[in-house]
Amino acid sequence: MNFAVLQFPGSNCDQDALHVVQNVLGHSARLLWHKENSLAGFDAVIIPGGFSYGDYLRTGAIARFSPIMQAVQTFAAQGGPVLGICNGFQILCEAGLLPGALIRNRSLQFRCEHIFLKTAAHDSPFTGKIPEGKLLRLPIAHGEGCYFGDDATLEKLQTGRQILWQYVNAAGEPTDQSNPNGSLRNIAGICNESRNVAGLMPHPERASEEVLGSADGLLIFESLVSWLQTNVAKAA
Amino acid sequence: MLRENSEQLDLFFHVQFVNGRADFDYSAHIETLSLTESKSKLRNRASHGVQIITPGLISSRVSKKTGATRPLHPTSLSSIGMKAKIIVTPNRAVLDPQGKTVANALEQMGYKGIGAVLVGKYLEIELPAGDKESWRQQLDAACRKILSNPVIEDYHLEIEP
Repeated sequence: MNFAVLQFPGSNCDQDALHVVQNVLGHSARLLWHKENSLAGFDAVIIPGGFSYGDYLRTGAIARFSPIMQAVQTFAAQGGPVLGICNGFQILCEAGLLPGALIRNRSLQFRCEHIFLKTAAHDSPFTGKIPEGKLLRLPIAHGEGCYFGDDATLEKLQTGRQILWQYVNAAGEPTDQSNPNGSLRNIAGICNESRNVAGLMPHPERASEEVLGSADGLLIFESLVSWLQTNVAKAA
Repeated sequence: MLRENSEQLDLFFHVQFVNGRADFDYSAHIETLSLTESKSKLRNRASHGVQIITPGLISSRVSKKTGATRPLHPTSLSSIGMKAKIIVTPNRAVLDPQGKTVANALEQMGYKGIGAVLVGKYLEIELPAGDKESWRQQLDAACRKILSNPVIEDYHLEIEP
């Protein structure tokens, strides 16, 4: 499989994502500068974390107008899988590819710690290989990760099973205490209606090898590869 | 940030003549391809009696085509046209932790009875003299498209004069 890892001025998790795809998963991946305008030949897109455009104006607000994002819109509309991590999630929300927005953490603090993540829906290209009941131990590192959507948006996410991941405690319960940023309904990650575009605030690429303390993040990438192998093969 | 940016880098500095008695501000405009080069140009200027006081403050911009100086200081704006003032605030449905923290601080300082505080952004945009209504429509679209996020923010746009 061939992955595109987008690079904006200020992206800083691009190399980590590239490393996981190439060296841990053993698939091909290429960094794609934001001024590129084609995704021809790629099977999946990863929008990595960082501080694109210095988070000026709002997180992700300026990056969404980069030329490559037009290609991402087309790619997503054609059913291609797109995964936004941290700043990538914020960019996808600003671009309207995912509903809602990510605002300043309730605590006003930049939170940098490991959290527990419950997978709330296993029927997506990003969660298919995560075992039922398995809690993911992943790091977060963000100042603007509080997920906000109006009541109608939240209802739609819930009924459409678009909430993919929630912050939980070690017992798997979505408590207020286990919510690091004040996200509504403890939302850590969601997908769009057609389920091919997803975003999450935690960093699976920083927890994909045991040497880093957790390899739980790899389950998300493996889910995506497995989905691609089924679906790209089907299309061929 | 500069890795792919081959355009020239414009640097502006407030400088002051070291030996000049009048102590007046002087705006130097340096066009260069690299920061290192700009520093050496500045050193050259310094050796000609100009001293850098505070880098980064912009007081005027020199047109590359005509060489004319255009003031950027807000008090000089009336001479170049109109000014748009945009206020962006978190919308009421959104929890604004900054506003809440400021409200708490005010309460603790003794300002009793204040209501909700919203912390937002203020933008000023210089506009050329011209069709105000057309600018209002364009900037209204820009506010919805990029300057604010309608999911979480409201905005208020004014154009002066």
